[in-house]
Amino acid sequence: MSRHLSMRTANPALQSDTFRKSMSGSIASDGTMTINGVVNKTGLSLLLLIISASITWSNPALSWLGMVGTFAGLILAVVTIFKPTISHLTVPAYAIMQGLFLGLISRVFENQYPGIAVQAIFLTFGTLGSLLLAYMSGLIKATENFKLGIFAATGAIGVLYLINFIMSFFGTGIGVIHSNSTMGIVFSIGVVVIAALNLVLDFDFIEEGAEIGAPKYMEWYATFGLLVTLIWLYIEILRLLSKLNSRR
Amino acid sequence: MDFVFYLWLPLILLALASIYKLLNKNKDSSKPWIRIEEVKDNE
Repeated sequence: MSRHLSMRTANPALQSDTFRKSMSGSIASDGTMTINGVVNKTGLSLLLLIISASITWSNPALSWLGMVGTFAGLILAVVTIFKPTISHLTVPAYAIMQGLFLGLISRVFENQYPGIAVQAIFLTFGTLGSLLLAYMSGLIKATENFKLGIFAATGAIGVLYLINFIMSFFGTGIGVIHSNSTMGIVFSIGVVVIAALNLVLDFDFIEEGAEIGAPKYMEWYATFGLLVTLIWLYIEILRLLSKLNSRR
Repeated sequence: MDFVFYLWLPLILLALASIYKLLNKNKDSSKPWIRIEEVKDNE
């Protein structure tokens, strides 16, 4: 258990004091968090996400729904972070809203480069599978130094994206983020690697929650953390593939 | 060769290395079927 106790993760949803907060208030009345519970809830959330994504994917006229999903997803994410006890309500809704958003952007990329969305989906789940194997085998361990490195790298990417977002109001931006030059592709590969390694921190968070017997609702919260990472990874893979396709 | 292949390559290598480690880990931890104990002379 002590292996996880000084938990450090870059995912804003999965912070070091999340379990402490969740356990200080109330004793779980309906059991404790289990890894199986998280797996089932993640499967259900992904199913909801895929169903809602298919709506905006197959109906380009419903692009406004994708925009609604973007903002509603953001609000639901903030609510989930600040009120994890109601995550059994907010996380399925978050999955549905993010599905609408992902269906829309996947369609936009697909129109430019046919076949790109399927490639990105397979690569995302391929990354999830291989990192899960690596974590289970002990090939990749979530040591303190590893967590610190991923935390710093994710923070740096976050700051870079924030600066780019602010610069976009003045009609400019950080070129390397959007550029399809060699540097732009190397940057995208780096971001994909960092996003993928965040999955290891999520696995560690889930394992820790199950070990210390966190309340049952934390299964939904851990699912939320995993969804955030998977969605980020998918978007970054989509962006990388579009850069590579544009060089053809 | 298609660039998507190069994106899959590290994932496949990582999965293979993990499977190899899992198989070896199980091999190390398995208990022997027969245990041979030393017998002292006066036994």
